[in-house]
Amino acid sequence: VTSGSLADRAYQELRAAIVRRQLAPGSVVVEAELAAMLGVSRTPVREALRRCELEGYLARDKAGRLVVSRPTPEEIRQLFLVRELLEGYAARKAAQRISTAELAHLDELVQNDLDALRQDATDRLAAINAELHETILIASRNETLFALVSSVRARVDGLQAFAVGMRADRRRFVDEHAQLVDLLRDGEGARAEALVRAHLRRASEVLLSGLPDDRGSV
Amino acid sequence: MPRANPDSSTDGVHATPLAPIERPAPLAQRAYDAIRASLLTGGSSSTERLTEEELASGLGMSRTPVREALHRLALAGIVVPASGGGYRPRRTTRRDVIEQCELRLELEPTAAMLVAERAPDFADELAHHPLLMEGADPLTELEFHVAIANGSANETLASLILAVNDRFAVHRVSLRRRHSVLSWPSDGPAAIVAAIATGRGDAAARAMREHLERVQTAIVAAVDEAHGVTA
Repeated sequence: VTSGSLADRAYQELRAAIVRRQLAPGSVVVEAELAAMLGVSRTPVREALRRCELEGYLARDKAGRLVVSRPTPEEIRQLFLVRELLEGYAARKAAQRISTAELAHLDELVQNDLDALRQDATDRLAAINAELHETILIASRNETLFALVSSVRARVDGLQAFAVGMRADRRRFVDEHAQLVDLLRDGEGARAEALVRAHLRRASEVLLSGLPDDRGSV
Repeated sequence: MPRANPDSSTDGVHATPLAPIERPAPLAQRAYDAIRASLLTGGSSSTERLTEEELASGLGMSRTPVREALHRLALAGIVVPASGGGYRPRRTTRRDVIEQCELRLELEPTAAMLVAERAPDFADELAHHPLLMEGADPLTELEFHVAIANGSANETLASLILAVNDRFAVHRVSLRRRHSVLSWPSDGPAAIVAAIATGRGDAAARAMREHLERVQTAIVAAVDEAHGVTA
């Protein structure tokens, strides 16, 4: 195994831990502990930390320590405005360009969404949500879009997990995912765009209206 | 990229302080800025193969910061690895410029709207922008659009607009080098500034959208001409 692929793996593991909230927002990240956790040397871990810092998953506190990022209300508003623009566009284009295989994959995700909702499996809802939104970005067939969104992925992932975590709104979000897939199948670009925009606006309102205590003081 | 600024005093689950992590060296940033500016102004490096050795000696620094700068330029979609080593500027394709124009049309009208609504006086500053005083070259154009993006006070929006404009400017430079005829909509920027000055978000968004639609028509025509495509 080359050091490059070890660093990749360390990066993917670290990012997943942040997105799944195994590392809480604001917590200090320690290179040696991560290396022990992942069973690799400190060199690939150092690379992984640096990449996560560049991508915004991690930030420096006043003492210069690396900590897991915590979004502010203003950042949530700003991010969701951008998501509305880009994901609305993606849905509009995807309605014309999505493949049969992608539609089948989305159907499967909607089914998993319903199962996870019944079982109240919040982590799985978050993961399915992220995959569903990403599938639509890819189905827009705009490769530049995908590259650009990857550059702000850090905040997007964290916030998707948040929004799905709100008990009262989960049912509605899952229903909207199912409606969206139907609109894409029917080639209804304008209506798919409008639904995505409303969906994301509600998600940001949910995030801003009050988060559980263990998720910090946003 | 802008990022969260977490509160340092809470939620510390780990007690041990971190060992120092290497941060991006200022030298690498200088190398990045210099190579990017050269590519976006059509300097000597904008057609050739970019190698660490030559860039390092040209910039008077070691190869390490140059290597980092080239890696970041590749991540930004400005250069791509060249066969036989090093990098070269990204080649212009019709699909690339259409994708970029479509994304600019999604993002930039909203930026113009936000500037008009929150800071219409910013138009005074924009009115003295070199783009309006001296005319269009790709880097000046990019800076005009990035100035409006930054005026939106939405950092995520601004960073995406900068990223897509960086990619777009590389193609503008390459088309100019091939002497493709660009019927550039040169009155667009002044119309955008005038609309921002009214403080009406919808007017500013519309002026930006109309300008970018004309930009899209012009650049697609130029790409087709450069590639010998007849419409």
